Amino acid sequence: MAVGVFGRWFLQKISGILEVFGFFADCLRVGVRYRHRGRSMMTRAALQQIYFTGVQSLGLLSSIALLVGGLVVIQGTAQLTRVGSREGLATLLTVVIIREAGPLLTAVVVTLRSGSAVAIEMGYMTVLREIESLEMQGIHPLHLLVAPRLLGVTVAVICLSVFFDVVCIGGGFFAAWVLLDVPPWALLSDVIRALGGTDVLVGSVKALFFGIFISLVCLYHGFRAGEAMTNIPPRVSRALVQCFIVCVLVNVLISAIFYL
Amino acid sequence: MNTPVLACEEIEYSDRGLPLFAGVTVHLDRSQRVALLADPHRHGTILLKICATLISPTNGKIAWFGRGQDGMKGRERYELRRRIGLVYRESSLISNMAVVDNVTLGQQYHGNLTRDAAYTQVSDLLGRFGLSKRRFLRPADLTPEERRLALYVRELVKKPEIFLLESPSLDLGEGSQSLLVKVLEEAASGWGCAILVANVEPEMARRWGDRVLVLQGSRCLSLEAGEFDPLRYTDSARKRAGERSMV
Repeated sequence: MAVGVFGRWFLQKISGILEVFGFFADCLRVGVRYRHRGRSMMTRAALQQIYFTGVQSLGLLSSIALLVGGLVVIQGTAQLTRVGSREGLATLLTVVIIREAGPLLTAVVVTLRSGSAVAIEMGYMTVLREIESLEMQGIHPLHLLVAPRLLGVTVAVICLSVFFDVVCIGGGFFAAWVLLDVPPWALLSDVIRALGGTDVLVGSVKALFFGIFISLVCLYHGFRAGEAMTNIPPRVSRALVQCFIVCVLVNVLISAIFYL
Repeated sequence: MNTPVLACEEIEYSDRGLPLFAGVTVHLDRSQRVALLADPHRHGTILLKICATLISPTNGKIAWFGRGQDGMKGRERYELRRRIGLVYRESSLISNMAVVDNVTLGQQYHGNLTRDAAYTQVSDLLGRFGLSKRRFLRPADLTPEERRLALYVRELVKKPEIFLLESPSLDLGEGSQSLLVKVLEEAASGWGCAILVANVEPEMARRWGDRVLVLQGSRCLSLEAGEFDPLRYTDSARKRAGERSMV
């Protein structure tokens, strides 16, 4: 009985994952088929999405990045001093922020801020029959609505991830200067020494996949809102939770591939 | 003999296993205007959406410009929709786009035009419907009548060969309704647009169509507008006539 329940649950989850990949495949197919149409409209939409997801998040992300940078230094100092190795602070900043915290925390902020907005927007368009309006103009909604948002969110996440890393390390430098009397230029050379090409690559690859998955999952759930307004909140909630889980899983997977 | 632009043969529709209507046959020729009275109204709405390719009938055959639905792929369906105009009760504008972007959506997308270039193609029609000065507003800033008129403009700018409307008097004042009738007549005589108007008030059926179809359950009657007597076919018209005679 328990095995049956678990099996059913597991198959449902697999089916859900495959549906999202199927949605992605549909988006690719439609994107290629109609690639010559509506270019100026879609370029405008993609730039708007980059502005909304990226530029408008800079203030929020800066605050979080500075605090996280300070936190890493505080905790790192407490632990490293105990083992007599304060010099490992730069390595810690690089490992924790650039490899892991930077992309993941950026993904969380983008999910909460932009992912939810995208899912709600698509949900409303579905319920209010605006998607039908597009179809009656001979416009495939997966092309006009999905492609610019997918591109915009992904580009924004990659740029924001780099921005987060820079500000976070800056926050760490500031905290080290204030708390430990370690000047930033001393730490900077340590960080540059500790930073490898792989770290930058890994951070970028993670950001790329996070951006793609966040936009795909949120768009997928938005389009599945059906005909009732009351379907939108649970759909958005599910989208945000799934985005978070997927980002953590992808993060672990990519780290395992590159660092094990 | 000319091929009908729209040919529905023995259309049947069931909603989640519940049969709604069956045996509906509708033919539309170029430049023909047909009024459809459906009881309940929902059947008329569903028939319009079937004719607009948004939903498929449970049974029966339907063909547009001689091309049947069988084997019709998605891309072909989307191209077909560019030749069909649809405004039904729940039609809506895109809420995060200005009026001018809403009505020129098709031109901007398919023609890769900028907003200004697309506007030059629709400025006359927008002006005629009194929307020129309101074109930069979003739908939420318009009156219900203006939103409705913008929906008609959006469909008319693509010069549809089949125009499907529902409840044309909804949200429209007498002046706007007269204008719409005139524009539809011009479309029918100008580019041969075939017009199917569903769920009109029975007394107004002759205003909207040269022919009247009455859909009641699975009964579908086709009458010339001149021989259609609203009092004979609809309870609501009889009731209203009774109320007027009591006044």
